[in-house]
Amino acid sequence: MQDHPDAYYIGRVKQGEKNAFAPLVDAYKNMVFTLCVRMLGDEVDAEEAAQEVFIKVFNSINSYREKSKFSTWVYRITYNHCISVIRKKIRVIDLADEVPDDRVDEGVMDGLDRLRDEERAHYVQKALEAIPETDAFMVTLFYYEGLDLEEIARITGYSSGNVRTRLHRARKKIYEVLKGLLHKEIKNIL
Amino acid sequence: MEKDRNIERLIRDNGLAQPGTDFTERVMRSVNQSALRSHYRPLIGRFGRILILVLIAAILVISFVYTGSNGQDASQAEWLQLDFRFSLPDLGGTLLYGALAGGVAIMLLVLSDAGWGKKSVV
Repeated sequence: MQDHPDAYYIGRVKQGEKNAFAPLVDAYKNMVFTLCVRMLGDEVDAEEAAQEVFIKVFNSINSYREKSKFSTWVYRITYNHCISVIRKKIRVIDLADEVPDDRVDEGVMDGLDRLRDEERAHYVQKALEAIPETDAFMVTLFYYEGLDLEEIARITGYSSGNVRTRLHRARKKIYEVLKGLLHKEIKNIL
Repeated sequence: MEKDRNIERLIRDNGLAQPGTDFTERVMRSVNQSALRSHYRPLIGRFGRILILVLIAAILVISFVYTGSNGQDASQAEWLQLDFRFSLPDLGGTLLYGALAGGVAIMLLVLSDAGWGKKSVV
């Protein structure tokens, strides 16, 4: 747990005190790792990427100006690094997934509520894996970190309108995947 | 944009993934191995270096023009009243001024720690 605000540790790191970087790593490692998992879809790759992200953050901390929040800056480095890892892997990102059903299916939520916590977590994980990496990244920042569209746009380089569209599409896709998984579950029980 | 409360609940309940327990130690090991890059600030800025090069070039040109084939040296130029005559009889004016200019240029480059291949880290 950090005893001081980020700026305190950033200042000390800038003055050459390397060990002051550890509290910053502790503060952001779970979010950075989660974002890497969302983007790369593999925990081993994500852990390696997250480590590289923090090394990049450390090496370029002198160029961080307090114009934006430190977290925004870290997430932007995370996003850019994951994109470059994906490009190296030459993974094809299919951004044109069509989602036919635009209705929010309350039945999906009822079905999920009846599941055990582990099962529900597994299904949510599956649904997040089913959407494009960038969309999963945005969903995490929007719904978990509570960032607004403008902040996510600054991190990813997309326009806020594009972020809105992607979040909307991701939401529909998540419902669709969850619905499919629940139907399969019901079929298995029967 | 309004948040979908159901999705928010699912994402929040799902929590954040956690890296290995020794993640921070591994990062700090890597950090300690890599030297902290500092901003490169040359002692003499770009404008200063250009100015110095122009001055050196001007000295060379003057030394060539006024100690060339007609044997006239800089001290004889009407517009330049400085006495540049040195007591080094074996050295021609051109060579002397050229060597001086080169020496000054090398000294400035060493002092400014500029080098030709260095780039600033932004």
